Amino acid sequence: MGMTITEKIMAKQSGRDKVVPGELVWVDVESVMTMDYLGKTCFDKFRSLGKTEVFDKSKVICVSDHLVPPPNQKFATMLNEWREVVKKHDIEYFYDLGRQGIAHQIMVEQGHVLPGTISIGTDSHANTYGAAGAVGNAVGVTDAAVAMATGKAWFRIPEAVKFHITGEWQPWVMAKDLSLHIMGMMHWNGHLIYKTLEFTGPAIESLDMAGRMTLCNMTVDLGAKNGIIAPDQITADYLKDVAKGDWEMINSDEDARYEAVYEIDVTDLVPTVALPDKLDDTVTVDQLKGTKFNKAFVGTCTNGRLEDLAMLAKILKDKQIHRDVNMIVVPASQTVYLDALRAGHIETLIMAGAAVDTPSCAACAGIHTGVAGDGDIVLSAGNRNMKGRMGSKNAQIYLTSPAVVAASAITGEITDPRTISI
Amino acid sequence: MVYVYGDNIDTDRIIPGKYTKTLDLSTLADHVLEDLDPGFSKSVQPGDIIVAGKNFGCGSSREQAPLALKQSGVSVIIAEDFARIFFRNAINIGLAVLEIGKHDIQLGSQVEYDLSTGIVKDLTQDREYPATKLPQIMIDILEEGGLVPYLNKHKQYKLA
Repeated sequence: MGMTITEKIMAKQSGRDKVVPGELVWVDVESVMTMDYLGKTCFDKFRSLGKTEVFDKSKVICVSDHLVPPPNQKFATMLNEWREVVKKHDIEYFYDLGRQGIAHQIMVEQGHVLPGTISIGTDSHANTYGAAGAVGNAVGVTDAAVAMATGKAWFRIPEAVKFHITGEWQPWVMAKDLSLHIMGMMHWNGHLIYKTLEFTGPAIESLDMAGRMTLCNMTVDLGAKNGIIAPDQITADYLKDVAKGDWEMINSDEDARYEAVYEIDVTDLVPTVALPDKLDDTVTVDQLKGTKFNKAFVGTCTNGRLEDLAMLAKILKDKQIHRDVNMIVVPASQTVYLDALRAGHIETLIMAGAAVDTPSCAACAGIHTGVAGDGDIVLSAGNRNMKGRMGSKNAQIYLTSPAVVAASAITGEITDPRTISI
Repeated sequence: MVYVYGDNIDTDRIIPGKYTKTLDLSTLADHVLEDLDPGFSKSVQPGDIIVAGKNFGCGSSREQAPLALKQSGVSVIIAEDFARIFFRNAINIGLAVLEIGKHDIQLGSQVEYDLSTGIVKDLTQDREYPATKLPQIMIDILEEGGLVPYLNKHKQYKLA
């Protein structure tokens, strides 16, 4: 019997010919990522193992994303301690304020994640790396510290579930809608916990890297161990100028075993929204027609890429954001920001009345750049809507795609982007 | 004392993100579960047990979530099942976790557990729940108080 892509990568990186679900393996990691607010703790833990040199200075990737630019003295001081510890360990790739981006965007965009390899990061959305045909996994600081010391991490080989996606993507329907649709379909009922989710089919093959990253990003919120898409020409074209090492295009065997296979036809998919507090409580956008909100947010490792900003600009071109809505847009990295600026999107957004801020996790981490206060109703293209996620626990967060946020920002009410004229 | 909570207790409810942006981990236990159960951090005693439903610890990868619970004195989390990052973080920092599937354990019940056999006993209702057995290496890591103390003592580990 054959193996899935995740099993093949785990076998290769653990030096075995074959692995089966349930087995524990000790794998080589390609990159280990840590960020500003946890990084100091991570390096301290690394040193408590009696180590002073990381396993490879070009494979421990350090990113400032949660705390930058520091909104207060406490964070400024934490960032100084972080910079000191990164410098002390002579880390080659340090994406600090000025060259920053959200860690997961940086990891893929800068080629630290490569097809056929395994990378880990100390933030839950490290699942994003699956978009590059890699195993991406979120870990805590202890796992990261051990990997920084040894270049290795332990994993249990996960059972696999396949989502076979067919049909034609419809105008104004985005990968985010598919993520939210799957969230509503599968729920948090435990049967995707620890699983590897594999996305296949013609509607995945036609999806750009931005969409693939959105889809893999949110697999962590389904409870999955990782989400992965087989690498193809789109992956290779994206990586060819940025890859920091060699890679191997690994794909699932035809006779690989899946615990379940779900078929979804995107031709029927419509813009989707998750209701406040629960990610798996999703509805189609038409069911919320007329729902008022006062804050709009687009950014994050889920939807802060160039293609997302292009979608906003397409809808908001020569339009005005409703006077009762404050809209904040935060590109996912400096590269995205510059590309969006050159493409004219930033100008379009500012002309429409949106505030654009420097790349960071922003309000999605609930600590700065547009946090929610009591009574706020936020329409967000981020990834989580639990109580208190963006600040006040007395705020409500609706999650949706950039297209729905843009269309709704014009009217001040949740609006189906398919009904607006551009 | 046994505290019982429901499904999908996320890491923001275990320890809100705003308290995790600090390097002083000793303050975590003061805020543990504060939105879900405001009295918890005052009443919890060393050795107390948390029993929960499905997907305990979903959300962020913050290791401070199991750490805050461990620092508060909780000895074990028994749940129907766990979010995977929480599960591995808990073992890595030395907080015992047991998955027992569907159960009917009530607040304040008398509960005993044995990591080596994986048996959870509800003495109040006289029922036994066999937990998914942890691999021996994970029991060994838990007994040493976490992965870092384990590695410092044994220098390496074998997985199976």
